[in-house]
Amino acid sequence: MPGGILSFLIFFPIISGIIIGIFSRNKYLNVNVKKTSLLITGIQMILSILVFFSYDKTLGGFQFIDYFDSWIPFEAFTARYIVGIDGLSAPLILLTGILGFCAVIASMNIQFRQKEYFMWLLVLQGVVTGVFASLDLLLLFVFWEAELIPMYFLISIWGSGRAHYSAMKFLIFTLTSGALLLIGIVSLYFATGTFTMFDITELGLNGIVNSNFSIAIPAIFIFFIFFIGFAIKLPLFPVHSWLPDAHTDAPTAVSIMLAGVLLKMGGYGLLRINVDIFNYIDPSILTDLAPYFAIIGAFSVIYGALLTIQQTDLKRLIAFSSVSHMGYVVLGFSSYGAFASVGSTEGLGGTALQLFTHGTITGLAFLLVGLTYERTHTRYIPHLGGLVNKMPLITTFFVIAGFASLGLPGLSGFVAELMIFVGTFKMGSIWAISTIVAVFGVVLAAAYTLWMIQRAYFGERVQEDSPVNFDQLDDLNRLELLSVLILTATIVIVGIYPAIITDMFNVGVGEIFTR
Amino acid sequence: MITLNDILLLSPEIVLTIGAFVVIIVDLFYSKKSFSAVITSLFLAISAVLSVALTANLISYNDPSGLSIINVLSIDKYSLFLKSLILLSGLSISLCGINLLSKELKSKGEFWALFLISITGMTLLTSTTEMITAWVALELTSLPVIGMLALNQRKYSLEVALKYLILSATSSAIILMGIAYIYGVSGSTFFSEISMLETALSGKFFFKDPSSILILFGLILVVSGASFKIASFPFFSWVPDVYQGAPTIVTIYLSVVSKIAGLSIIIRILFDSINSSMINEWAIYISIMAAVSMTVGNVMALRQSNIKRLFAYSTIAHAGYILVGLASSEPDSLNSSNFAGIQSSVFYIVAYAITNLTAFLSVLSISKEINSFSIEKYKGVGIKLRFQSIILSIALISLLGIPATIGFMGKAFIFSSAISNNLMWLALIGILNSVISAYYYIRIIKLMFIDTPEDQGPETYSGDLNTRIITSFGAILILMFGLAPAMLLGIVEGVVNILQ
Repeated sequence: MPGGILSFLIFFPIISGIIIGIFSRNKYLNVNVKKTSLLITGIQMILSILVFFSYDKTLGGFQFIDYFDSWIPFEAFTARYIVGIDGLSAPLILLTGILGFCAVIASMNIQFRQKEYFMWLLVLQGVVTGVFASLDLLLLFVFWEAELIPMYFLISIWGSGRAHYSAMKFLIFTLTSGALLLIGIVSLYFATGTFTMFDITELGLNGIVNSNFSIAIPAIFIFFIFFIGFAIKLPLFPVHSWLPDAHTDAPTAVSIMLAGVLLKMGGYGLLRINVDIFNYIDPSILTDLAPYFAIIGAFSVIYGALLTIQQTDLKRLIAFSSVSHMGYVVLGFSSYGAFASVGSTEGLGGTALQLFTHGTITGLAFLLVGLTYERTHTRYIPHLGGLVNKMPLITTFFVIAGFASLGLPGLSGFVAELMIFVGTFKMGSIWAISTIVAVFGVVLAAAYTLWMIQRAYFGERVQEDSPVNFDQLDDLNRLELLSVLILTATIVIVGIYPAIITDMFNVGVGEIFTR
Repeated sequence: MITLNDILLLSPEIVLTIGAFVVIIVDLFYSKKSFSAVITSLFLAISAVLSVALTANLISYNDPSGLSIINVLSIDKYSLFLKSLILLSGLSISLCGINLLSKELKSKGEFWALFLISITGMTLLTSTTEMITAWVALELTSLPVIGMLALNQRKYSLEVALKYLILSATSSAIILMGIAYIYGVSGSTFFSEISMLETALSGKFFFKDPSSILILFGLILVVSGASFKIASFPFFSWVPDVYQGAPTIVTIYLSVVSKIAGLSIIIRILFDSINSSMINEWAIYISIMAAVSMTVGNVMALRQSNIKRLFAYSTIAHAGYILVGLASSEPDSLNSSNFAGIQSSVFYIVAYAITNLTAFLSVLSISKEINSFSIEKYKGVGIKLRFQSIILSIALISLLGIPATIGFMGKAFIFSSAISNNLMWLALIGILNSVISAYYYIRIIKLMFIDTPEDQGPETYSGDLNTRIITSFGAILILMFGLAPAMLLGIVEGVVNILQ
């Protein structure tokens, strides 16, 4: 791949989005704004697939590095522009590329303030790519916070229900998480004297890993600051309450991006900083705290699942299931000590894979719920029913998404959850108990998923008092089918041949312990 | 003996003083609506050009490292830099004032003359190196403001002016009291001599030596008195009422220019006269000032319905952020990575000046069109007055401190210096405060762009051209320094080195 490819992936959508926004009164762009966005995100998707497959797994390390030294060349506060990907971030770049394209397809029916909408959607995609690609902590933080503004506008202007309230709630929660991260990042900087995360031998840069670490603040305090910051974004019980509101009221495309990519920022941060960097700084913090994380993770799984069962709004239901699924991420995260004691990295590898698979599965589910809602104009489950007769394709794909979500073998959700369970169970004691508890999350997932599909898509034809005009429902059109097929294909391919992604993650996770 | 060189160095002030008289005299003969504002802008522009030229060493003078004039004024890089900032801010205010100064104002000639005199006081304030001169310069800045407040024809303008007068007099008295203490111990009012005495005292234990307690007490009095100028704890209760009641031009002037001047003298007293030997003692007081200002400002701003009042509380909060930088200026931090807090403070002052000017001038222009300062009336402005609203939003995002804006860089530097000085609690308070502030800043953006207007006013408004040009320039600076702060950081670093 040519140099500068990652910078292109970051700034191409941002700049083209802003151009669309600036020339929003131009008559010529007026007609083609949707096609233009489709083209831009299509290019993004193809490039991210290419980047993913051109990453050299045998070589490992950071590749496709772009570097600009004098971003903040202040002697006492030196931050650099460095982007690059390793085995951990490459699949997430791929995920962002795929979901960005699907999100634009899901927005084809937007009529209200179109150009602004696509501007923010494109900016969002670029910024999120930046989060996954940054190798400089301050740069990562800049992208992390910059994501707020597009999200706020997207939820607030094009959302439904209590959109303003949800958007503000999202903003305050994310700002808090960002505030904590800033403190953590700056503390790390003063402890080590650099914002660069890892040694980059090509450029002769020393990273936080392998620098002298000395600061008056105890390292465990910095660890917690990062952990809470990422837990808000993930989200983990008890700081999850922004998620159902934001998801429910956001437009479909934004739900896809939010569940598929933005939540992954929290999981990625946990792996990248709390595991990767703190593995160097003080591994004992991680080993000491791991049992508690296992408990919180298992609790979050069950708690999320129990809340999910009670939901009567399709979108809210899937939103709550995300809380449950992100619990697995924390559970897998707790198996950090497995490498030292048993020499295996399944738990962490499964965590990373869970990030990827949850992105595609929930992305697909939100896409289908959005498409259903566009046709039925309600998401209230008791008002739906018998939709399969009118929308066989949507129902079929929804069943696939549901099965993947509850972990049916052969689909990608199964692989990730199995890896996490194996990884944590091996650790014995508290971990084994937590794993056993968390396994019931799968049973509950089967309950809420199947029951929801049964009530909404199969079952009786819609009742008399329902607002759904049953006779006028239609199925997927070609473009929508394309996006659904892309996501389903990812789910099935990863389910049947998981090595395509896990090999990559193994490279990334393995490097954590060899740095 | 005053030489030509001295006159050259004082030329910005001299031009301003001449300008003040010219404005009054011209107003006698030719009282066209906005003519005095044009003359004011002209003189301010000349003065600003001179000051910038001196800062950038474009005009060569004898002693580039700094020159004392009769020992009481020091024209060095630090004072010239802040002077340029003050003059440029003043210039943008007077340019916008050409069209936007409220019609209720009785006599514009006098208003602009007082404006120029007050700015002269501020420019002098940045370069004083002696306590009494500093006090005189402080009075020179605040007395004309009382006139500017009282010239308004609204019914409560006298009340506002009186409030300002009484509190300003109190703060002056407190400053004088502090000066008296410091003079009593050190026997001198010159910063350089006080600092020599300080060095002599520095070896002794703090609580065992009464004279160092007296100096510290005097210092606290002076800084508290000066907090009136920068609108921070303990003298901030005047801010909301005066900001709301004053003509908006004066509000902007108080919130930006006056704050730069006040901080310039506080920094000079803290770092030039009371040198770093006592930093551990006064840093505690400054950090308390910072913490209270930030918290009170942000919490009170949450429920405001008048945009000027909201900005009043927001400026109190921002004064707090700047003080965080000053509180964390301990020279030898734990790790040798000495990120000087004072550098971050000066950077934040610049960031704040640019951002708040842009925001406030946009507010002035928008409010002029919709004829109201109520925040609720901003509904739908984003569609009717698109350009100005976008600029206001950029400025608000910068005040909030979201990346890609200068406000973010400023906050990042401020809180980093606090953390590097082991003031983690202060950094935590500050950062949580900036999260709180999201609510009221974003609310304005939401009202402008997301809500639909209730009443059917005119389709679009025109907005003021001068304001548009100046604020778009400000917005460009906000984004430019936000993405690449390197250049500004370099300048600030050079400026601050003078003090250390």
